[in-house]
Amino acid sequence: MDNRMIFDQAVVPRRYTLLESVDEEPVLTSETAIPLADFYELLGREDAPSTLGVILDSDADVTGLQAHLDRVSFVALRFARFADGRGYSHARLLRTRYGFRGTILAFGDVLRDQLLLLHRSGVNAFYMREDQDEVAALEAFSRFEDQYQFGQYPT
Amino acid sequence: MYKYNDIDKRIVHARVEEFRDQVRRRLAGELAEEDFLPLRLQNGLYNQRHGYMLRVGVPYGLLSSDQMRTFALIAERYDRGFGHFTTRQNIQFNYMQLEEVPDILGHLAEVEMHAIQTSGNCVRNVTCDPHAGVAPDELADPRPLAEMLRQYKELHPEFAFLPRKFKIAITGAPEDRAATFFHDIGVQAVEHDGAMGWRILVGGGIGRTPRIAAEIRDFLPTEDVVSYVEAILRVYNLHGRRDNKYKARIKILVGALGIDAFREQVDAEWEHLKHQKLDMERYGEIVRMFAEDVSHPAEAADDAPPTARQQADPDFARWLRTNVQEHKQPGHHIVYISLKAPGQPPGDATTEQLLVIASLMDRYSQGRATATYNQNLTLPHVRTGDLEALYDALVSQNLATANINTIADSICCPGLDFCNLASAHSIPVAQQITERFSDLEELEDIGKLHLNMSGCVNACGHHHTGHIGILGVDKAGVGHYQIAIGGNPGSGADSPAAVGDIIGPAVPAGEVVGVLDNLIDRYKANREQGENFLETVRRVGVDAFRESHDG
Repeated sequence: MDNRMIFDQAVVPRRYTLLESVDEEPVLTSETAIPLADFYELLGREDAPSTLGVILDSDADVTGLQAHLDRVSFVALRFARFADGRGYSHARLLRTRYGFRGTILAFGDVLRDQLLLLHRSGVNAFYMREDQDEVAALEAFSRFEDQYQFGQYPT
Repeated sequence: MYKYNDIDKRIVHARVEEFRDQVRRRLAGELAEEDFLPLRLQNGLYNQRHGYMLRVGVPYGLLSSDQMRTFALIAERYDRGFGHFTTRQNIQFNYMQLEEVPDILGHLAEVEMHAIQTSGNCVRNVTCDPHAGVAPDELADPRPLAEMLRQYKELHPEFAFLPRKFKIAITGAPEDRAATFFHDIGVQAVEHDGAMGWRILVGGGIGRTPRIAAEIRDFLPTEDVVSYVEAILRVYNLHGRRDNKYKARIKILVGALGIDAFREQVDAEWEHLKHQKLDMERYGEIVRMFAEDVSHPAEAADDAPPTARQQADPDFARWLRTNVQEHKQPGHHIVYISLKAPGQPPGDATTEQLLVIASLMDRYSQGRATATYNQNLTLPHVRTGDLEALYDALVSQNLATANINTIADSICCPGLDFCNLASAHSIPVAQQITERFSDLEELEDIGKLHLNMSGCVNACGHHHTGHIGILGVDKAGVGHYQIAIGGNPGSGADSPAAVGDIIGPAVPAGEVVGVLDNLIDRYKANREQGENFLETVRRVGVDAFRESHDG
């Protein structure tokens, strides 16, 4: 549903604004995300906020963003199609290699049957596709009490 | 063999319940087919011509008798009385009802099996040499590593939506019975300066663009293999093509970059991952679980060979020569169960056959069987003293045709009889071939010859790698068959992997057997003492066989 999000495994009102462009001089805060190219352009400007959200498309170069993560308040991973799995690697790299501790938000074609995989990859916030029921989707987080990766077994 | 611990059991049961809920939502109309598609595929469920087909994973091809009985139960209660073994050591059931699949997965979970990731754009079943653990020439048993990889890749959150499917095969023996050169990743046991390790190949494949895998690492210690696989998977997930499903396999990425540039990327990624060593203590435990299957009684070495029967019964003698293979332990043998009886669809087994095989496993093979790349089964632990009784039992079930590794032992996809993608029938043509080549004396004279057939360019029958490969194509609505020779799945240094060469225009179904006859005649005319078909093709060249195609 439009006005709700899942944040740290709870349903809460949406708090982030995702802007597809910054042409109209919008008010930018740490809870606003803009496309990566616009983010790079803003970095040098004096009036830019100290931290900002960044929208990453699935073909984004997440490694290039590493040097600027101190200016990133949250990362919004766009899932244009849920079957495009690049966002999962982006989330894992951000969390495990670049030490990013801010919110990672998945938005777009985000469905309840992929929530656990996204969560385990490091995503902690979800703007789900509009036909999805966030409350019903929460059961995904408690379905499995075990996992093969990250701890119980190597890697 | 590997025994599930509590974690394995809980994960597999939770997965069954998850899918039960997804099926319920699908049937209630809460889940659209396009959203359900990857969920059912990653639970082994395809939508085929006759409804749903379920592909059950057989990790590294190893089966217990209880698992075999469960296949019989599924075939009998939920299907039409048979199952079909595949080139990737799995089994498929063709007439599934969606609402019954969760219960079937429940039965499988009870015997430590599942259908997780047997389809979909994810890491599939890790296959192995069917002679693993008992091959006389083996450097290391590949199954413990395959089991570690199974656990690593199962439900891995990062790699559930790769650009395309991803297949790994491992061999511990120099004689490659797992087609490692034609997998996305091939792993081969090697020895370097006295240390045991693994050679890693990448980018092999068949389908529309057959490719022989390239070496990416000549040696990795066991503890580094899983992290190296992760590095390959991550580079592939991020950089494999997603704009065209026919160009999405890793072979296309490796081909576009070249193996050296691809290796550079993987090695750069691996720099960050190589501290994640495999838990070698756990690995050691798993090695012991497999080794327990091979605790043979020493007195078997003194079993009397069945010499009298051998002399009196030429069929039995031929079966011993053709379907029984060498075992590393004195007094033991690997016995092939032929699923290629004349007229039978290759790889199929009926409920009754599955049940009889299960009891033969218990009686003669320590409760174990393996599924092979060639779509047969083996009993891997048979004592010399049991060969005669086992032969009689197999004969009674039509499972003892002495045709293993002959032209009648064809690899064949389900084709147009079952598959939505097929361009042509493959099973009826395979049946014609097994009927034509049913004279066992002739088969033995022709000798080793792998014949592979696919009903379309997707190449599930691995036609590119057949010594003779047959591809079904659709010509104005009529199935035609393109024939190639000289392919080889790869079996060691003296017989390298190869893709076959087409010998002429495609022919209608009725002419396939005639073309094969001509090829065999040409082989017989050209062969030197002890030379098999492929060796003759290699020595005299493919052109010498083209003529026979015309005549």
